[in-house]
Amino acid sequence: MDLNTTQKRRLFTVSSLVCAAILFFAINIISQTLFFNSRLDLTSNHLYTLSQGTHDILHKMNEPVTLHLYYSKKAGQGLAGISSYALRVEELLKQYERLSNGHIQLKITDPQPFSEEEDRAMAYGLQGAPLDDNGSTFYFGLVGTNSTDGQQIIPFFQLNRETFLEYDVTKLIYQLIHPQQPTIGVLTAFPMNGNPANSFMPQQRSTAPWGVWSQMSEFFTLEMLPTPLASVPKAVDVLLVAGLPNVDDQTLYAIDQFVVGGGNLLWFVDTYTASPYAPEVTAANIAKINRLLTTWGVKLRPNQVAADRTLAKHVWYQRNSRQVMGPYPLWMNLTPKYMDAHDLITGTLHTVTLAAPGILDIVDGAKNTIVPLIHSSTDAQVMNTGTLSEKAGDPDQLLADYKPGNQSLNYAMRITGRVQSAYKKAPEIKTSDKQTPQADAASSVQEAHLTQADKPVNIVIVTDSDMLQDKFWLRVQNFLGRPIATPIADNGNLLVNALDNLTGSSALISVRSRGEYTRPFNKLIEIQQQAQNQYQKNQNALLAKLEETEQRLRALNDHKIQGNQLILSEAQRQEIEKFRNDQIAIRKELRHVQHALQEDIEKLQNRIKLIDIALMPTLIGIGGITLAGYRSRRRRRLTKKFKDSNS
Amino acid sequence: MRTIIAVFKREMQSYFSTPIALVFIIIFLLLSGLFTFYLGNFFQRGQADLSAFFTFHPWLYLFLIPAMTMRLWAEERKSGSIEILLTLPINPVEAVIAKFLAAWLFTGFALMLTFPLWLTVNYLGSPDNGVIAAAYIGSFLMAGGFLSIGLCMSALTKNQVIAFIMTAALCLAFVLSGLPIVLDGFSALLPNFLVTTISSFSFLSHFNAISKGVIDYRDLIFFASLIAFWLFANTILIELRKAD
Repeated sequence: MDLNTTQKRRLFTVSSLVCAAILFFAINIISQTLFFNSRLDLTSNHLYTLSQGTHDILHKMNEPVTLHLYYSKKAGQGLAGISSYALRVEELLKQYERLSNGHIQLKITDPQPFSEEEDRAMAYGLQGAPLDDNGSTFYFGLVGTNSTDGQQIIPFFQLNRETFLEYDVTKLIYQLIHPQQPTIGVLTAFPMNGNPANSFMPQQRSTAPWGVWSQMSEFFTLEMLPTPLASVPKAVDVLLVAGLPNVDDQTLYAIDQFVVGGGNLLWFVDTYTASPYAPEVTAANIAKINRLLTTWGVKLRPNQVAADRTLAKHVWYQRNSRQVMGPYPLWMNLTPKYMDAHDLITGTLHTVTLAAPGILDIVDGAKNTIVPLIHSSTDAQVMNTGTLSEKAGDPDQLLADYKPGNQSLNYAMRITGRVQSAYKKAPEIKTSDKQTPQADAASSVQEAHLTQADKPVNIVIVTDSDMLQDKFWLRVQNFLGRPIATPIADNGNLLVNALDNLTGSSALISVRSRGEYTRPFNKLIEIQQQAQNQYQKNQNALLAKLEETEQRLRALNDHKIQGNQLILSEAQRQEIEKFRNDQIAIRKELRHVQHALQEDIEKLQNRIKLIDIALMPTLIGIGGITLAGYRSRRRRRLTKKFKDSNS
Repeated sequence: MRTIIAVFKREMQSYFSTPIALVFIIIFLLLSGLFTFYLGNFFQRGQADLSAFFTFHPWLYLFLIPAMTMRLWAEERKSGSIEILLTLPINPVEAVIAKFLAAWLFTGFALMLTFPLWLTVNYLGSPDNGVIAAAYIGSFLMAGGFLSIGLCMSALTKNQVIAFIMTAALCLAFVLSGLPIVLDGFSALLPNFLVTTISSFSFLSHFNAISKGVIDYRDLIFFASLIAFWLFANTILIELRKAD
């Protein structure tokens, strides 16, 4: 068959296109496997680059660990976002495998419905998402096992936990490598461990362990210690005190001796708490606690808490039977600017939420090294705890009466040094206060009183114990019947970092705060605050007037009833009329003031919208029109010149 | 090289001498702005980032870029200037590259003009600027992908409307490439690994990945190879038509 040139050319065209298409496919297929881990991570927190902590942990591995990824690949291809996330997870795990120098073995399985592998996945506890009515389930989880019986799982790789991916996987491996965990002795009045046997609070909603307890349990063996406590058990590596149930001499002495004996301590003290679990804070108790604190070099200001308008957390509350959102100065979000950037505990934290924290001062002549870890802004206000419970429920009132102290207040301190005992000898304990009979036997073999630590110990004091509650740092959502908690603040991380640091292990600290929380519109929040401050005074004055007016109106009505009059006198009627008008006018003004609060924000938003949507197009449009006008004028001039030159 | 620059300059001048380019920029800026604030819920989200802005780029490009590219070859062929262009001592490859670069840079210019939004989000809060920079790069690359397809379709026909429709349809296929609507057809015919590869051709998945702040070299290779393929196809078609 002889082809003419056109046909030949067409054939050439088609064949070269087909070759090009094949080449295109080939290049992309090859690059999928070749450029396996090369990427440019432009995020400011390097979320897509493995942290130094992970590198360290993997490098130091000397035990084998098996990671088994169960991923329903076929089913996953149709689901938006999942397949690309799955690819990322797979590549991350392969990267771990490479960095572990052969200690990690990775297996990937696509569990078919009703297969043995699916049964195994379910047995491990992986969570399957039902896909359709046929009973096929979608699996996307990880099972890690070590050479002993250790087993850790990630039941399902949640998309909204993507920023915590590295942390979740590294933590899983870490727990497999370090099954023996340091023991933390816990002294607390809070039902942190979800202990339902709390007879004081029968209406307690949930007996689930607190988020902080779950998080601690992943790394440490926790031992709840009873109070009164004769002495801290030998097995305890670090002591955690949060809301002491009884502030009695015996327990305090036990704490004192533990520290002087070389143990590290993490203590969440409190001068005000709205929590139903914590025991009442009394001046006497604070004084007893201060006995220890002052010996170590700090002092907790009795009867005082701090409020911070600048760092105030925004909450929903009722104002005149409307739900509004506004700043609540007693609860504050502390950002890195207000925390020690060099300390291992606080250096990687993003946001710590505190609730009515107390204030620490450094005692004159303190011999130990004392470093403030968390402090307030200079807009903080010192408030007295005596009158606080009445005011605490009214955010508007708190802002109205707000008077900043223009001084930075300390909320957390690290004390390092060879601390001394606060006691000259063991205190006399009344028999009725003594610990339970078993302990009595132990206490009869009394240890010698220690006066000073042999080597430096570390004590970390934080002036708020409420911050450990879930509501201040966790948001819990329901995923297929299981509650999944996502952190909205670093309170849990602060606790675990501190315990890590005090038990001498800091590998996970750099990995821990890899997640990203929120980047809010700070400017809008700032403006809202300023507007709030400005209008607060107006509003209060108006509210007072309204109250007064209403009172007088009521008095008049009562007077009418008391006087047994059925007919009002003209003067009284006029009075009532006047007061009613005043009331209406004042209410109107109040609404106006409340509206004005929103107006500033909306005005700014609209201005921004105008600039971002319309400014550039308008400028371009104007530019284009002038350019066109200029060109047409030039053309006209040129043609005119041409015509003139020709004529 | 010099010829490329010469044709490039000519193209750029033509952009700025016609109202088409102006209208393209204005509409692009207006729409992207409107979408960001009203459809993307920029303020309601309360997050200082530009995801409300970037999420609409694939869809804006989907109908704006075909409108821009449809005239690039078709007009030349209709007006006859293509003969002049191709009888000049220019390699068709150079002509294609020059036209593409002009269109790409012009689109990049339009993209740059959205900078007030970047400034705004920095004024309102402290966004992750690395992520925003990566998203701009991703959007620019994706625009290049759209443009290369559009340019090739424009060379296929004299009729600009047909060029527009074919470009839009093809670009849609690439945008939705990871979804069953595109894959199912292929999975019936082709072996599995090819289907996986096709699903990896999704503009959306590459763009979304880059918008997170990471530029994977595979994303770069994808866009580069895609652009190279369509420019090559474009050249072949021009050569073919040249003879007619």
